[in-house]
Amino acid sequence: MSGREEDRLDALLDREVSDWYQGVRPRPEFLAELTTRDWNRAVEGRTTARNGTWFGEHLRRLITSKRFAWAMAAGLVLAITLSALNSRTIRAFLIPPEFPILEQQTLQGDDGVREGMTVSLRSGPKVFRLVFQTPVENRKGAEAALTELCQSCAFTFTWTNDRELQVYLPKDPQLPGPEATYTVGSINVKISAHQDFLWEWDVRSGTQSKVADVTGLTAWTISPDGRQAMLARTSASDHPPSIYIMDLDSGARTGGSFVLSSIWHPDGGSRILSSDGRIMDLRGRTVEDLSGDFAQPGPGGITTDWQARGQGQWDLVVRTPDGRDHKLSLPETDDTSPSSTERVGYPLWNLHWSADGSHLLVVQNRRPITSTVFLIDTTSGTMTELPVELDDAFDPIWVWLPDGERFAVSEHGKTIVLDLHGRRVTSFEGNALSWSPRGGYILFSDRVTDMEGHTLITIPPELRAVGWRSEGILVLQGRE
Amino acid sequence: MGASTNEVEVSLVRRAREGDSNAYSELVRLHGLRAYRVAFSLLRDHPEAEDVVQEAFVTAYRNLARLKDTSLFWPWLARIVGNKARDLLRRQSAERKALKRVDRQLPAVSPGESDERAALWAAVWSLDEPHRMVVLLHYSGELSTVEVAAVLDRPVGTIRRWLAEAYKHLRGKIGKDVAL
Repeated sequence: MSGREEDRLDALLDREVSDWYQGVRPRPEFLAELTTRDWNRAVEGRTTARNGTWFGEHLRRLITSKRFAWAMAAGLVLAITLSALNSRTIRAFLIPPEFPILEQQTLQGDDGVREGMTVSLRSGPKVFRLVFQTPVENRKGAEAALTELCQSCAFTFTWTNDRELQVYLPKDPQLPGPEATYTVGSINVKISAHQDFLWEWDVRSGTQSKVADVTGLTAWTISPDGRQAMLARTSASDHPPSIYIMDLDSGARTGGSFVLSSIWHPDGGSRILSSDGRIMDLRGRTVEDLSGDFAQPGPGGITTDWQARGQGQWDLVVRTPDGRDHKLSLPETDDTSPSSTERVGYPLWNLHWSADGSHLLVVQNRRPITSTVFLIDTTSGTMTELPVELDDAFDPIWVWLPDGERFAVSEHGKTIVLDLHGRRVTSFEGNALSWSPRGGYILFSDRVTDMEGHTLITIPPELRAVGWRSEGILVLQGRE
Repeated sequence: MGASTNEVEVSLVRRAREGDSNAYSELVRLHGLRAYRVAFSLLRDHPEAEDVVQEAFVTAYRNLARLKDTSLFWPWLARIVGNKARDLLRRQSAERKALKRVDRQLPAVSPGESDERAALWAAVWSLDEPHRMVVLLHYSGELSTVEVAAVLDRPVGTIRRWLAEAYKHLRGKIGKDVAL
C-alpha cells in the first residue's frame, strides 16, 4: 500500500470511527439524572444503580461475606457494651437535628466495604470536629459509639490515615478547652474545635497571616485585581450553591447567586462572567446576557460570537473592555460549524488570552488526535502558526506568563515554557497552575517555586491554594 | 489571578474532595458524555454502559482523596471507567455476550452506500476484541494514546503495537475488497 493509500485509510478510519463514536449517546435523562444527583447521598448507597443490578450484586456479596458476619457479631457485642455505659457525659454532645449539614461524604475501602463518612455541621460561625481514636480493627465499635452519640441526626465520620475516626459536630456545649478526650468503652473520643480560614502566605519570607474566618465556605478564585475572593457555601443540600464575594481588606462579604464555574470579568473585580454566558454584578444581578457557548473572558476582552467568512473560514467576535466589538480571523478548518463542540465532542479551538491582552493563543484540534497552535496578535489581527510539539493529549494546561511574551504548556506532569515564536525557554517538573502577577513565582498543585524552579514553599495538605493576591502573596484556605 | 478553565477544574476537584456534591456534579457534567462513550466503546451495550458510568463516578467520588494530581481528573476517571467495563466483561459469559454483541456492533450501512465504508466496518469487526477496542478508542479523536493505555490498563508501548497490528490487519482486509 502506498503512502497515499495509507493516508486514505487513515482518513477513512478517522472519519468513520470518529463519526460512529460521536453518535454514541446515552438517554438524555441519564446524563440529566447524573448531573443533578446528590453525590454525597449517592455514595452512601441511598441512590442505587439504574436497574438495581449493581446494588443487588454488591448487597449479595456483602451479606455472604465472612467480614459481614464478623461485623454483625462485633456490632451486637458493642451494642450491648454501650448500652451499659453511663451516658450522661456523652449525651451532652448529642447533635440536635436542626443543624444544617454542610458537607457529607462516605468513604469506601479497596475491598468495597464502607470505612466511614464525614459530615460537617454548622452552628453559627463555628464547626466542631470530633475525633475518635480507635484501633483500625475496632472500626465497627467506634461507629456504634457514634450511633450512641447521635441518635436523632445524620451524623458522619471518616477514618484518617492515622487510624483516627473524625466526626464533625455543630458545637460543643460543655467543651472545657480547645480539645477534650473522653472514653466510651475501650474507645477514646477526642473533641476539638475546628475553624477554617483564608490565609495570606508571603512566599518570599515564608510568613503567614490570617485574612478571615471562612468556616463553612470554600474559596473559589481571586479577582484579577487581587482585592476580592469568590467563595461558595459548601452545602450538600444547597443547590445551586450560594456564592459570596469577600473584600480581602475588610473581610466584608456580598451575597449573590451565581452558577458554578463563574469567573471574573476582565475589568478587574467589579463584574463576574458566569459559565452560562451572563455578565453579572457582585450581587448576582444580570448586567448582560452573552451567548453562553462562546463567551471566553480574558484581558483583551470577551469572545462573544463566531461569524462565517467563507467555507471553513471563521471570524471570532471580541468585545473589548471598553465595549467595542472587533473581529479576529481564525485558522481555517474543514469543519462546517465551529460551535460543534457537542457534535464532535471537543472544541475545535481552545482560546487562551495573554495576560496583557495583546495575544490570543488558539489551539486548533483536529481529528483524530492532533493539535496545531496559532498565535493571533490581537492588535494587528495577524496570525502565526507556532512549531509547538504537543504530545497527542487533548487536555494540556495552557498558562500565559504575565509579561505576555511567554506561555507555558503542561502535559503529563511536565511544564514547558515557550516564547512567542514557539521556542522552548525552560521547563519544570509538575503541572504549573499559574504565575504570580509579575511572573516571579510559579504555583504548582503542591508547591510554589521561583523561576529557576527552586521550591520556596511546600503547601501542606491542610491548606490549598486559591490564587495570587499580589506578587509573592498567595491566598490559601485551610485550618490553623 | 483570574482562574483558567484548568484551574477551575482543579478547584472543582478540590472542592469535590472536600465533600462538595455540587462541585462534583459540575465535573460529572463536564465528563459524563466522554465517560459514557468510553464505556460504550468497550461494552457496546447502552444499559451496561450506563451502569458502568454510574459506578465509575461513584467510585471516583469515594476515592478523590487518592487522586494525587488534581489536574489529571479525566485520565484518572477514564481509567476507572475502563476498569469497571473490563470487570463487567470478565464477569459475563464470554460466549453469550459475544453473540449478543455481534447483533449490536455494526453501524448501520445502508444498501447502496459505498463499498469502501462497508468494507472498513467489516474489517474493523473482524479484529479481535483488544485490537478492535484500541482502534475504536484511538480513532475516536477524543482520547490520547496515554489515555487509551489507561482505559485498557496496558502500557503505552503495547497500545502502539496493537494499533500497528490492527492497522496492518485492516490494510490487508480492505485492500482485498476495495481499491483504496
